[in-house]
Amino acid sequence: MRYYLVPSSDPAFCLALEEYFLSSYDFKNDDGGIMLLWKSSPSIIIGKFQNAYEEVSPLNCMRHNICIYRRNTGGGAVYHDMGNLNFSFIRRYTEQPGYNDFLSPVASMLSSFGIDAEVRDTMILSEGKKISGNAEAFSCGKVLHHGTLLVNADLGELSLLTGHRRDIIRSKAIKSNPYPVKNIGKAGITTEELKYSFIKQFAQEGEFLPNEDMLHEVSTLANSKYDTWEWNWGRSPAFCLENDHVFIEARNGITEHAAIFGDETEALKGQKLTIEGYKDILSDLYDPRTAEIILSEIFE
Amino acid sequence: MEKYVKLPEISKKKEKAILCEWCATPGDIIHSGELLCVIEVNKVTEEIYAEYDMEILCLLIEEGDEVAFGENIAKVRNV
Repeated sequence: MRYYLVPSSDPAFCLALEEYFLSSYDFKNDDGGIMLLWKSSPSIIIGKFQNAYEEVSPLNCMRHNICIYRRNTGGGAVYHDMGNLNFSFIRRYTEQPGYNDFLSPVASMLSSFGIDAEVRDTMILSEGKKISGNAEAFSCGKVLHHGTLLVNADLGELSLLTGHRRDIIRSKAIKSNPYPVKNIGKAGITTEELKYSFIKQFAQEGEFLPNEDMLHEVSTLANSKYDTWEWNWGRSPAFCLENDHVFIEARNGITEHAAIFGDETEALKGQKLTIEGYKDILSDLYDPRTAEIILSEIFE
Repeated sequence: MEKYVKLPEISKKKEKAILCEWCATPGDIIHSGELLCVIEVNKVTEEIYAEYDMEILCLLIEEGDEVAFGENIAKVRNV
């Protein structure tokens, strides 16, 4: 396996890079695959089939200047920042690998730092708390396994921004399963030390050197998919948002039906479910205070 | 000839998956090797491909619904 230290902290670029290796890159038969090591600017990364509106508070994310990105693997929402190290393994397979095939060596590597690390299903736990969440995608004979590793992440932001499902929303989307978390950085370990330990453990075949064409292709994919509202919010499965004042049905992030205070609100029909778009329309329909309350009920 | 497509047994540990996305609708002709649907099981997304050329007659599982491995997911006709 070769390694690539991703020089970008843009989640859209990093997710596009994963997709490039999973879907487009031609691994030769004797190629052991690639390991990507990357860190993201503060962001929330949701699972492929999650409802962004259900997993996070759009208003809270806006206040904290946090963007949402949809990844290609399953599972729930995770928080990324520069104190979190992400590892991605992409390779061909003949016999489908399981989580343990990837996570056991990672846990062993962490143990060599004196960390109590135990694999439990899709997670690595330390002293009963999650330090690494993992997910996978299988496509065209290749596997993408990726995981987070909480080193010095801002756990305050993590708990504020994730793990609070909005129970006014009903959908068939995949739900997150919050679990108590902890950083491993308290043991004096840095993300840089961990990177080099990952390389030593997994990347015997050396460094992968991307060419300009490949980087251009990945950037194009990042811009046309992972950086778009249509992918990150619009791919949310159909849902219904309902409380005492508001009833909204949305599909692909577009309002199909809206009623406020029991009255059909035609002006919202067909609108993208965005804070900005709704704010403009509600301001035309209601006094400023009422518009603000309705906006908060929909997006808080 | 009309027949049923079953969800292949992918996971040895789990009995069911969520059918998250259909990549075909009734009336579509899907060729062998083309993507039929995407499922999720235990945080894994997995693509399910057509094993032969077929016309989709009816989808038996809605997106977001749970489906057991081996269960019928679509009614199709050989083409």
